[in-house]
This record gives sequence, C-alpha cells and structure tokens, in this order.
Amino acid sequence: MKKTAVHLQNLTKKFNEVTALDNITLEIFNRDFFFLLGPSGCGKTTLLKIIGGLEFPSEGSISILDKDVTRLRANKRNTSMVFQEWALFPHMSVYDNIAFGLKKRKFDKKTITRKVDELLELLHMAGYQNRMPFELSGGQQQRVAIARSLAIEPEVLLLDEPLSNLDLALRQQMRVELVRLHKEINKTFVYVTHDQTEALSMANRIAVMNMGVVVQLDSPETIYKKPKNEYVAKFIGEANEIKGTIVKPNLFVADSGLQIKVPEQDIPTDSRVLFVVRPEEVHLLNQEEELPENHFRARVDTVSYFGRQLRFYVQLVDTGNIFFIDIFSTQLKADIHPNQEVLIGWKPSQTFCFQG
Amino acid sequence: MTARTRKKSSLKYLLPAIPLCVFTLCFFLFPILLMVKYSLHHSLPYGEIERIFTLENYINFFTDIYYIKVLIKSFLLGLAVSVVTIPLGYIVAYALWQSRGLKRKILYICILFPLFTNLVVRLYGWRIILSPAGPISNFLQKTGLAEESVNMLFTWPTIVLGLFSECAPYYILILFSVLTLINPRYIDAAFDLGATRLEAFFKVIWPLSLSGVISGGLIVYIWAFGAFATPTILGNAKHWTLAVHAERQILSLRDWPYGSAFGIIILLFTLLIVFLQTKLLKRKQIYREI
Repeated sequence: MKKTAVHLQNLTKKFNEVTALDNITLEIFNRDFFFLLGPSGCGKTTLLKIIGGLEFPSEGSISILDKDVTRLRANKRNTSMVFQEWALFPHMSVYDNIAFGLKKRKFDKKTITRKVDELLELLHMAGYQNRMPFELSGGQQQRVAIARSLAIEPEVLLLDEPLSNLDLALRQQMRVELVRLHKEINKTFVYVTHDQTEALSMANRIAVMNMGVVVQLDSPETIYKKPKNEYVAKFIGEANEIKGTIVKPNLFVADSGLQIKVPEQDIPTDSRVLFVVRPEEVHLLNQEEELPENHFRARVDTVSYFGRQLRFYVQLVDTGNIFFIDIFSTQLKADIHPNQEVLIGWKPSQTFCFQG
Repeated sequence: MTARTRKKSSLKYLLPAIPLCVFTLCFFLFPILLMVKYSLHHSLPYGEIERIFTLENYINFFTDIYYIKVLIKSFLLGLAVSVVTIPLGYIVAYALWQSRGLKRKILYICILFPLFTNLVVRLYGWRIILSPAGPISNFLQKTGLAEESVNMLFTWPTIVLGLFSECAPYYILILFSVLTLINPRYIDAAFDLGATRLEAFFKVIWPLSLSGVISGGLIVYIWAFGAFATPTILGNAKHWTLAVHAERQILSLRDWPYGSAFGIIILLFTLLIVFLQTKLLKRKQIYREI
C-alpha cells in the first residue's frame, strides 16, 4: 500500500464568480513524480498554489502526509515551489538565495554552508556560491531555484512550468536531470505543465485537467494509449478524427459512408460518436502482406518531411475522408509521391470511439 | 566602422540636444553665474552694489551664529519631513503597487489630485483647517478634548505637516515606479521558504525598493530644505528657512550680494546632498541590471 503524500478532498476554488477549480478529489502518493497537465487557464497552477499554501481553497480540504493543512499559510507548510520565472532574489548571491530558507530554520552557519555546498554539488553548480543571479544563464538560474527550494527539505516539491523559459536543447537536458534528481532525493514532486512531451516522458502519474476538473488520472502510457474521453485523446498526442454513428457494437459508419471496424465498447447502437485513430497507428500497406481488418485505398495529397519521420496527408479514394499518417523515414521502403495511390490500414484494437 | 565615422555619427545624434543646451545655458547657468558674481561684491546702504571682489558675505554668514542656526534648522526641517514622509509615503506606494483595477485608480487620483491645485491655495486651505476657528479646533472643543479654541498654526509640526502633504505625492510616485519593477513573485517565494510577511518585506522588498526610497527621499529632503512658501504661510519668523531669509535679504533689505550668497550656499549644500546620494546609490544599484 502506497503512502499518500498529498490528499485533496472536494477542493473548489472560486475567484469572485469564476470557478477555477471544481470539486477536485485527488491523491498524490509519496515519491510520485506527479504531473498536472492541461492547457492554460485549466486551473493547474491554482491547484499547485493551493498545495503550496499560496492560495486557499474556497471549499474542501487538503492534507499533506496525513496532516490537515487546509488553513496553513505557505510559510507553515513543508512544501516548496520552483516558480515559472524562478523568482531568485536579485539582490542576493547564489549562496544567500539558497541559504534564505535555512537561515529561517535556525541552522548554524557551518551547517548552512555545508548544505549549500551539497546542493550546488547535486545540481552541478559547485563553485557558484558568490555569483549574483544576473551573472547566471537561464539554465543556471533554474538550478539555483531548485536548490533553493530543496534546501528547506520539503516533503513535496512543487514545480510550476520550470522549464518553459529555457530553449529546447536545455529543456531536454533539464528533463533528464530532473528525473535523475527525483530518483536521487526520493521526494514527492508535483509538476505543472502544458507540455505533453514533458509530462509523458517524466511523470509516473499524470492528472489531465480541463476547465477546473481532473479529466483523467493515470500513468503516461494509459493516458496515451487509453484516453478516457475525446478531450484527452485530442489534447495528448495527435489524432485523426471522424464523426459518425455506431451501427453495430463493432462497426462504425462515418457520415461519409466509410465503414470502420472498431473494438466492442459499451456504447449503445445508433449513438453519435467520434472515431479517433493516432497517425502512427495508420500504416502504409503492402499488397503482399496480410492486410488488417481496416484497409482502404487512398491517394497521397501532400508529403511533409520532418527528418526522422514523414507525414503523409492522404484522401480515401471511395469516401474522400482525409487522414494524416506518420511514418519513420527508415521504415519507408520506396519513395512516395503526391497523387500516388496507396493502401492504408490499421488494427481495430488501436482505435477509440467517444460518445458525445 | 572606423573611429572617425563613429565620432561623426555620435555628433549627429547630439544635434537635437542643442536648443535645450542653449536654453539651459542662457536661463539657468548664466543667472547662477551672475549670482555667484553678485555674492562676491560688497553692498552699500540703500541697495547699491560696490563692484569689488570680497568674500565678506560668505564670511559674515558663517560667523553669524543666527544664520548658522537658520542653516541647522533648515537641515532639521528637511530631516523631519523626510522621516515622516519616507515611511508613510511607503505605505501608500506599497498599497498602490498591490492594488488592482478600480482601487488602484481611486488611489492614483487621491495622490495626484493635490498636485492639480496651486500650492499657495493648498497652504491657505491648511490655514483654514488648522486655525482656532477651524473644523479641527471646533471638533476638539465639542467633544470636550479641549477647553478653549486650539491654534495649531505657526508651529513647527504644522510646517512639517504642510511640507509632508506637498512632497508625499512626488515621493510616492517615484517609489511606486521602482516598486513596479519588482516581481511580486518574490513575496510568494519568500513566504514559500518560510518567511513571515514582515520578513518577506524587510529581506526582499525593502532592499529592492531602496533605490526608490533614496531618490524619492532625496527629493523630499531637498524640497523641505529649500522650502519657501510653507514656512512663510504656515510659520512665523522663527521658523523661516534659509530660502525665506534669502528672499528677505534681496527684496526687503535690498542687500543683493548677501542674499545671493544665501542662494549659492543653499545650492552648494543641495549639490553636496545629491553627491552623497549618488555615492549611496551606486553600491545598491548593481542588481537592478536584471
């Protein structure tokens, strides 16, 4: 049985008449690398601030390690936040920034110096004690901000889009480092982002949020492979979408007349659904191979080259539906040109239908 | 680019500044130099000026215990007004910084509105409010806090109050513009690391706003040090600052050289204060580069 680090119960937050968070109940386990993922304005940052004690919920309660902290301010909670723009104190050196929380906790000077040195070591910033924040690059400021938060040894480290101000290469490097850091210090991380790649590659659990509610809470793989609803399927990854009707438990008929075999689901027949298939699940087929249940003739419309992968836009010959297909360039046996006729197909098990 | 063309182009950018330079030269620097010249002449009875070189005006000033006292009193007045304005104005500037929407607009108008009114009119307003027949005196009598009418005019605290009301808007606006440069997240960050509200303020916001406090405070100090209208209207002869005495020397006693020397002395002390302030600020400014 996993220990609960953060427990939110029926949490609601209203700003005047606007509901930012609507009755959220959520459990974050100890040592989770937990992600709150959603578009801007979905309430994820508000939720993070409530966990950190920088905002208070209008209703509901929050406990951290079985202790009710609903009414405790940020300075009385054992959480610490890494802010989006890092918010390093500009008039203090790296040392003073990191020591800020330690001085509050009445450590003697020797202990503080040792702890600051250790943290800088951990974040590959040894020797930077006397630098001022403006003398550091973005990535270095980021590391100092993390060190400053870790200095107070929080039970839960809160990260509010910490990588969004870094360039792509640095961001990718910091992702790997944050995962390593999480393993090394063995604490609970709660990470807010709108970047699905970040969430999918770093999290062990993700809460996908929209309009102040948690839409799905699962592992990254489940969220990608088995999205609970249309919103998650569209928000995470890309998808071909077709509107139509379920006529038999395992048969979908698009408005264009296209018939597609689908896995059996608990959807009553004759209901309107959205059919979804991911671009990498659609394959270019070879006549000699064994064909999957769903296969269609299509004409290539455009080809976009992305280096390691190619994206084809194709139009079905019979019904005119447009699909986009992603294929690794290494898997492509022959060149394919616009206007060429191809055979495309996919396995029914890799597709979803959502009622709505 | 060669050194020569660079020099040429930088000269080109100075061209638009010429009218202002000429104006400053004619109407600011030249009159001051004229005053310096007057202050080094000897004055005769009936306001005539003997055009000889002498340092007697300055020697007379610094050996006259009466004027030394006036100088010290002017310094003290500047100090008192600064001590009152800096913390009180800070509270208003901070409130302005933290407020949003309608609240901020109302606060803004309250700060700016006094500046739309003529200073002398405002000072006579204070005279009505603080006079023995004024509303405050009436209120104190009615509530029984005072037995007879109270006269608050022509006292030193009243002059400080008057100068405070004059300087505060400038101080608040200067400080506010510095506060807006501070990321409000710093307060959250300090909280988050365990600081109390007061600690967050004194360890983070106060040091970051110090440059505004110093520049704003300097304006207040210089204003009060060289105050003229307020001590004349709200005070009596014993409250007069050096500026009032300079005017008396020139216009009433018709001693232009001595009055000019007063003016130059005020100017020199003001420049000294500004010089000290830039020294003070240079050390604090480094983190503003962000």
